[in-house]
Amino acid sequence: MTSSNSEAIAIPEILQNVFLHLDRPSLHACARVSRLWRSWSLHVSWLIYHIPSQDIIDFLAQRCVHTRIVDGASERDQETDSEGCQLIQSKKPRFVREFKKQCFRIQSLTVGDDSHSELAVMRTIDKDVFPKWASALPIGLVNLVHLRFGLYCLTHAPIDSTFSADIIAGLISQNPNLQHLEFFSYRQPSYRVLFTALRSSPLQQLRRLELCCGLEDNGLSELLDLLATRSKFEHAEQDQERSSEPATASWNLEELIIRRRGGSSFERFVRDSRKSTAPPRPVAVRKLTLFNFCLAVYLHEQEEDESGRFQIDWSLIYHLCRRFPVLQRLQLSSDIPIDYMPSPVSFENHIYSFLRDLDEFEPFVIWNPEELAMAIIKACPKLTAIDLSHHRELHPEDWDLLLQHYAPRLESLSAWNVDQLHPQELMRLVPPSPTIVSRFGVHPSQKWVGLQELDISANSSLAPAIHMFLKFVPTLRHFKALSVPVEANQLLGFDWVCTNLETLAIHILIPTQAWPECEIWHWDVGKDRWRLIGDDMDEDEYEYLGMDAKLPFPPTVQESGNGGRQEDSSSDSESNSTHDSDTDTASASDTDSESDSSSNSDTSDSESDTDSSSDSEGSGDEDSASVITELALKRASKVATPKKRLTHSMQIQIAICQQLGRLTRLKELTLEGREDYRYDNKEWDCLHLTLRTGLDYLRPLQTNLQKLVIFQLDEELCGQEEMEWIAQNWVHQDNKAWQRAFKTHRSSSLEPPGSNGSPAAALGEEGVTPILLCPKFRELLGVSVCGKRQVSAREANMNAAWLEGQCPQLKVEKDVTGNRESFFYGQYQDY
Amino acid sequence: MPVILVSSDNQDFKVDKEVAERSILIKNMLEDVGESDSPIPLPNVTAAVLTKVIEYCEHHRNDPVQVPEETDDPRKRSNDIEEWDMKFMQVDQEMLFEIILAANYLDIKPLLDVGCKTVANIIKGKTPEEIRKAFNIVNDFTPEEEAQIKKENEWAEDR
Repeated sequence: MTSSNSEAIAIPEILQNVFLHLDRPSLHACARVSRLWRSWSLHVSWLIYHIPSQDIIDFLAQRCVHTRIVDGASERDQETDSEGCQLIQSKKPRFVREFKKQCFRIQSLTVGDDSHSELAVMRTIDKDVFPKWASALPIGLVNLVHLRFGLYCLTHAPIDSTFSADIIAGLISQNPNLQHLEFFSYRQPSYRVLFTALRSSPLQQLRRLELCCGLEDNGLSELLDLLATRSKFEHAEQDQERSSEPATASWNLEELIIRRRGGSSFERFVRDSRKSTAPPRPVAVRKLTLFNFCLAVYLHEQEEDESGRFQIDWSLIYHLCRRFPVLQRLQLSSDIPIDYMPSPVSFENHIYSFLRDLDEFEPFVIWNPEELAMAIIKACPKLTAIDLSHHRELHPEDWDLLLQHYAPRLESLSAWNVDQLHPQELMRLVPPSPTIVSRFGVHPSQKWVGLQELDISANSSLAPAIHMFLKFVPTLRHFKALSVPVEANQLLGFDWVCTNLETLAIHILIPTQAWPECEIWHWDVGKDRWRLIGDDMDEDEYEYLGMDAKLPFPPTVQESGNGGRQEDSSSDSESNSTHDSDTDTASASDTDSESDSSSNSDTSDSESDTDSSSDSEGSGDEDSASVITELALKRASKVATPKKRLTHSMQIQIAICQQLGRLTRLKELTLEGREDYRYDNKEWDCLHLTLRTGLDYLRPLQTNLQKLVIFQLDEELCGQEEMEWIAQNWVHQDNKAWQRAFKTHRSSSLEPPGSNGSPAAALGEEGVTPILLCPKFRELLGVSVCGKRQVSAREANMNAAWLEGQCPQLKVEKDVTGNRESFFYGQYQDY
Repeated sequence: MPVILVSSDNQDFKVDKEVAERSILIKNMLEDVGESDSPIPLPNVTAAVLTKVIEYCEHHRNDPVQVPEETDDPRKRSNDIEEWDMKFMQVDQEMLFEIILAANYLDIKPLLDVGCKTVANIIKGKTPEEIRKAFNIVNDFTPEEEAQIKKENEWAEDR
């Protein structure tokens, strides 16, 4: 054995690091390698432990038996210790013994059930025979770093509630190094049990506290006062005052999460905060999350002023922000996205099915404009992440003020289902184009931290702003715009700069023909912001910007690294001198104005883009024609069907796929869109994800793509060639043995491999055992198997089954829904 | 401003400070020394290994610095290895462990994690005997201990 091998493996930290990446069966194998390996594999396998609700009695309780002794005329109760839990255990004794022996290794413990959305009742057995039992925590369970307590007791079982309260109190008191504490409860045990335990335990390492329980009455105030007492603000004051009382151990609490449940009402907190004359006691928490609180609950008795508005100090947000002066992340919304799983139900409909409260109280903006925003800015000047999704408290003016103020440091914005946020306000987060900066010099946006996360789902009015983020915000890593249909024309004509995207969820409308209408943004130097052309402009200015310019078809193919081609230039250059807008000319470079980028009428000499999508309409230069021919020939070798004329829709789809294919860091891609969709006398199509419509351009996504979600897309991915393409390019791209076997099989037969038997067996016919490397691509969710055009439902199912057989780790979820559900697209409302 | 690193076999490597400071050890040394042109000796790292380490740091020079608290949480481990890292780690086993040792010494946690994930991938799916053979480990269990452990693992898997 080489010395470096033995040395590396002998270092405990390295061995542990290796074991942390192993699953349980591998850990068991490692436990049998040598004594050193056994020791560390045991350590790692016990690091994380879960005691389900059903097993709590076995692991954390002991039974007390009361015996009645009749002695003459008197009776007395004698309490005796139990034998342990053996008589009522359902678990084998050796499990419990092993648990008590090894529990000192546990660092992360979940007691109860993992899912807070399910009620899990503790098992009680023979309560009539054994009416009393108590918690009995193993003495070795003292090294917890993370504790999740998810136990639900029924109110009519007080025994259960007392027992569970003892368990949580005991776990907290004997684990002083807890860093992450999660408390999930329904009615019992009450939050007061937790607060009592927290008051009496130092927990100086506590960094994160998550509650999912009722906070009725004054629960929220109690919690914030408890946190204020332990926060370092209080200690600074105490030091200054040289208090004679013993110092309370302080927490360095970073994060507080509260999920409203049951009878939580924050009305009393708001009322008490309004009445209080003392300044609010600050809490030194940097990340605050408040889920699922409803305005209407605590505002039913508010008082309107003369203008019909309400005083700002009735706002829960107002009072909360004043308590958290060092807040960096503010999240006041709903936890729906956390539980939402890709399905035939769209995210938007999912929202409406669970959160109808806002619809019932529309309109619901009740404060004066900008008042709440100014209060937030004043109270929490250091915010870097904002999630005010599903809120109606903020006017558009509030959003404008907030985003303008926080833009330089904002890293994350989540505003799904926020009707009061319009494109104009959202554009506060888009910096001016490089052209503008080079022309007018240094701009403050060059020092912006850069937006990394943006979620604007379920607000279709924001569609006009989407392409601007893809064009001018390179720092984006997570971008979600579910149920926000954006016209493909707006997404073309430039290279998407956000090549660091890891998550993209987008709804793309593919036009079936070229339409001249488009929206254009221009940078207003005077106001230092983007404006929609058409806002506050007269007709002359409108014409100057070439709104009526013909937008010929087809789009050009973008070469990698190209700065992108632009729309017509002549009218733009004239417009620059007439008003403050710096709408750039398109003679040789990017513009910061946006028009329908499928336009190609004034292709300048500097254009190097070629059109890869049109060999039928005669547009594009000669270079593009040769490229198209070359590509077509390559496909022809695979596809037996004769080359057909590419429609406008197909060409747009190809161009979109080209842009998507540049996002090589993508891990999760969600695509939405509907075919044969008609609105306003226009017909729309969607991405079909076939080889003829650009699927092959998505090949570079093989680098990192893990999940493709297409439940809300009318795709045609279930064809034989498409399924084979996925297997070749996203599953087995590095598997040479598989590729050889597949090529051999295809050349000898046109039938899909495995159509007459097991795919693996078919591929093994050549004597080559396919080495199934572990691909990154793990989930294909929502592939339609209902039958489309050339592919019957039977064939679609067969093809999907074949793909599933190619990789056991690949999860293929089929969409058997024939008809799409109705949805609300705002201006694209489906009737 | 470049930094000069000296390997155990006295070979000099000039690297950008930003690249060198991907190593917390080097970063702390530079902070202690202040502005100085003195080369930094790395007696535990050979030239061949240091070349690989510098290559890794160059490629990842713009990566965000990992927060120690997040990476220490056993519940947040990910087994993903980026394609570049995967190809980077396609070396013989001796070099693999040398890189791991160097990353541990130089305190470059992302490189250490990638190395350990690579070793974990080698282990996955193997029997204990295959693991011993792969890493040349001596079985120091007595036959009785082996039987007992095997039994314990059986009911542990049955749990």
